Amino acid sequence: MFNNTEFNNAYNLIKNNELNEANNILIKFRSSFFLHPDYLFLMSLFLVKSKRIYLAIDTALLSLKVDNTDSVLKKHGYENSSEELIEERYLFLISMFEKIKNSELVDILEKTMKNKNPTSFLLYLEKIMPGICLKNKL
Amino acid sequence: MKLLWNTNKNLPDIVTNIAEERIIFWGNYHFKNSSPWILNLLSGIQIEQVDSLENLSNNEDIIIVDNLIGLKESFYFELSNKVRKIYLVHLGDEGGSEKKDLVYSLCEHVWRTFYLPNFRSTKNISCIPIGYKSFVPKTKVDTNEKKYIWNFMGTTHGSSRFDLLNKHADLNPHFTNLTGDFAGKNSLDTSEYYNVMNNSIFTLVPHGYFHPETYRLYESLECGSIPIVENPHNFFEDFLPNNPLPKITSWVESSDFIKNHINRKEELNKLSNKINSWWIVHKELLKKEFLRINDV
Repeated sequence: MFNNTEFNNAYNLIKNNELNEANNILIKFRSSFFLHPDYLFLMSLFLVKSKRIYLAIDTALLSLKVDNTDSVLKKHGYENSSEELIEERYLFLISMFEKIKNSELVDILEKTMKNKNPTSFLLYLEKIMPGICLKNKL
Repeated sequence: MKLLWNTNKNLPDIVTNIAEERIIFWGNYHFKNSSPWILNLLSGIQIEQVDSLENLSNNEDIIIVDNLIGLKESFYFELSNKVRKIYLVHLGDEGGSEKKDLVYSLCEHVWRTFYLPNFRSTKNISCIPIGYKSFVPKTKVDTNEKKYIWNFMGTTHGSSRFDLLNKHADLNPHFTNLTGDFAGKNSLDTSEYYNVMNNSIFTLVPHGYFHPETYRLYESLECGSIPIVENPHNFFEDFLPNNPLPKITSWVESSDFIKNHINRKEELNKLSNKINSWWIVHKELLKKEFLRINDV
């Protein structure tokens, strides 16, 4: 799912609840990959395991946003997320919105996932959660 | 002991970049808004406030209240040659990322806001609550007389605050004032702000921008409005041990809590009194800790 082997390792460690080891990898890559959509997705998985549900949602939303903002990817030399990760990110976000019982956002995200086009969701996001932004990252 | 409030001293006259803009904004902000809280914590110590470092002798100790200290290393280096001991109250540093090692090493003791677990094991650092801003009202509205069930006043940056508004929208009457920026142009003035809080049974307290603490927690405690606190990673059990605050990880828990309690007036009064008593005791313990460390 990840192009970076270490990211695959971190993913497996998080899934196996080996959070200290996973955190060590995340810390190691933070300075160079802090805005990488795959890194942000891993961070969101880590945050939800450490009971920081809203920070996990914000981070997964930022991952989606960066993955769909070419200027940021280009500036940092990052690649887009793989198809497999994109789907898992949608499923993760849907499960998070189910967890906080927000059926409106679950519906919107399910449609977005089906259409494979997050443009209108991201525009809506700017209105309802203006802090999930990239204003200083461009 | 002498005390110098340094946040608003030697600020640039003209702003030429974002860093200078931050120094001026936060320097003046803390001078105007944080002084009642900090001076309350220091109220057990006999203090003489000074405006400059003139007339200090090298057998004196001094308390400095400051922010953005990473940009003021030379000030602290010079000061360490002028006085015997420096006690620092370090405000701000919400993300914990400010450069501070050199300045901390020059101080006998540091009290800093925005607790992080890694400071727990450092002998000469204590963490204090960020406290309330400006002066809070002296009279409290009785729980049964309050106008609003809940309030939220502040920015709506991420999913937590969005969900907070979503989950409590049908609990009326309530008061919200949503702003674009911290202390931005749509913010209420201090007296209106405290009037709303004083008149709310509950104040909803989401996570801050980087850190779980926000001023509204301590402001609601001062007003006698019951704070319902977002508690990621059990932060508030760690930082404020044995506190009786209602804590949640998801805002649906908060709306359920309010629905379950709103008509049980006796229980609400009991909870409110329990929280008030705890907060009064906690502040006294903090004051004693300042006295103990200063060895006064």
